[in-house]
Amino acid sequence: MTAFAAQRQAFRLAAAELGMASAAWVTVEACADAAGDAAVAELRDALGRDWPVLDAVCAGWLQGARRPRPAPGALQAALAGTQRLVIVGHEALWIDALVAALPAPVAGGAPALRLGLVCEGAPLADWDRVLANQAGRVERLGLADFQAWAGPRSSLLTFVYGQGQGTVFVLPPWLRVSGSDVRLQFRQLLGWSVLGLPLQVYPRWLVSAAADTLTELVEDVA
Amino acid sequence: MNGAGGAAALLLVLAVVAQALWPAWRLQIVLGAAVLSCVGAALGGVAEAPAVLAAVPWNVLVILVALGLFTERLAATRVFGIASVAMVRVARARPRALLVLAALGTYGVSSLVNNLTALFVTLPVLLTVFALAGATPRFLSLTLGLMLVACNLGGAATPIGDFPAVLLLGSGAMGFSDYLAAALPPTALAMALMLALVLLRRPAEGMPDTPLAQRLTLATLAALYRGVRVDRRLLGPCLATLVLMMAAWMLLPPALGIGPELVAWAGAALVLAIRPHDGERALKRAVDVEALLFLLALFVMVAVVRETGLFTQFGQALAALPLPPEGQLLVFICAAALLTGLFSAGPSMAALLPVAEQLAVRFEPDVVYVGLALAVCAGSSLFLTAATAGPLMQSLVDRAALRGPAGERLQFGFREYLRMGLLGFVVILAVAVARTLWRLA
Repeated sequence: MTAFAAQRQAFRLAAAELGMASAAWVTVEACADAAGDAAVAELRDALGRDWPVLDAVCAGWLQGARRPRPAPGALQAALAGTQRLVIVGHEALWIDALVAALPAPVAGGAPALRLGLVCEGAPLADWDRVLANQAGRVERLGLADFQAWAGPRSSLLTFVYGQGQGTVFVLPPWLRVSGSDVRLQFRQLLGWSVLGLPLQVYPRWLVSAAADTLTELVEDVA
Repeated sequence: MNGAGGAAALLLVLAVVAQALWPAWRLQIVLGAAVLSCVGAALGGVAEAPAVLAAVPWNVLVILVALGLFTERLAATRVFGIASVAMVRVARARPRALLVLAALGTYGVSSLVNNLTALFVTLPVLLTVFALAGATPRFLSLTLGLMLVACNLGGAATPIGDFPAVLLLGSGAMGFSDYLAAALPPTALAMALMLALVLLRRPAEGMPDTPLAQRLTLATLAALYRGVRVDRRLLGPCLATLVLMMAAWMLLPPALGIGPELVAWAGAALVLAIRPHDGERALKRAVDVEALLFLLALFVMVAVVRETGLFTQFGQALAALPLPPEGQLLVFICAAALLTGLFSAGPSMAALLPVAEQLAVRFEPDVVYVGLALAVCAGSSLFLTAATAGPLMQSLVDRAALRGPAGERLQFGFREYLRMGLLGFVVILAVAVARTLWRLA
């Protein structure tokens, strides 16, 4: 068994729980630490075709890109007036950064911005573990009940992995929450661009959505 | 054998067999059989329902519920999950070290909490490591099989580890300290033997064990648990309560009237009160009603059989066997192990304890009771279906959807466990027999 044969399964699990971009950066960094850039190139050859985000990160790494430090400032500005944020899709690096940037709630009081994560679309994910990483700041939601958070001070957010002509590449659950019936119930539908690297192979696992389903696309500017 | 006793015993055996054959209907089967048993006892003039219900060891049920709630709060601190991650780091994700630490860790955890909880808190981390690092079918079977046996051994090591030991504690058959002193060494010995025998089979052969695979596994695991922290504000009071409970179990004189069930109840009440909101939710959702009703039904049927005097007759029949006393006790221990293998620990222990009480009159009580606990532990380890935690482990492995080196789906079921089960059965039973002979010598 080669190391990368085992990694096919490993990356699937990591992507389910961390998000594809976050998992890709963790994997590529560890790979480069252990065996250098040659191993990153080998990883790309072995898994890149199956995992386009990992492919993009491997290619970026080999060209000098390094793990991004997500800057949630632009997103926070876009969230002005929002009290409840429903997050569709999971990217650990970016959600960690957002949670860290928010003011800590006063003891016993409600936070100024409640965060809810739609825990669907990744059968391998241990959602209890995913949420345990956020020290209670992120609440569990499902596709069946996320609309309970709807209202004029509520926003929807998803992660965007790339853009085409009038389209954005997002995770499939986004299509299930961004329909015309739902979008009227929320203040805005935000996209947070997380990859910043071109997708070079067919974007498997992602879906193409019309860019105008998003009220605003927030670029992650470090 | 008297007629009423025979009918009640037959009903008990039929119910136990039927629930093993149709596990999806086990509760209805045993509860229905318990009602029939009670009605039969009343109509047959054996005993009326109040007498049967009065003979149910309610204190055992109280201990089980209280320890279940205590365990739920302890698990909520995430201490076991974090400890499991630390274990993987200590092992540096090397397969052989991982196997050893996983087995020893499971033994330790299941000696404190019930077997189901022990697996719930330790197995997810290990399955994650298998998914990250990859595993051969052989390594998976040996590691998980050994963990299951370790779970049974840990459960038998202390009086609060699992149902058979709790039953001994609750029934007053043995005190906390006496059981701990008598059962811990043989279970630790059996654990060491099992570990040595499994390591001799070179379980890690064919496993990916390169620095790159280890680095990737550890980095991903660290990311998965990057923000998971032990809830110290809950853990501190939980551990303090555990120390108090153990001190009370060991030191309070029986004349005081504060039995082990009251200590367990008070301990559970204390940890539930630390966070009243979560405590109330645990009370409403975390009590294992299925296990409780199952055991209640078994206790009712056993109580009816006891009222008929059949267990006394069994004890006398055992004493009449043309064997020396040691031989009679060994026959009982071996029969208990086999019965447990077939019918699982709960039914076997509930039915065999009254017979053990007969034997305890003729032998040192600890020889009989610890021999019985070890025999039940051996039987629990025989088949995947006999172990309390076996089906849970099977479903957790299924859910993890692990793949082998060639991309094949990895399974852990009855067949994969069988060889380890036979080994565990033989080793634990051998230790039980050896201890019994040593104590009788």
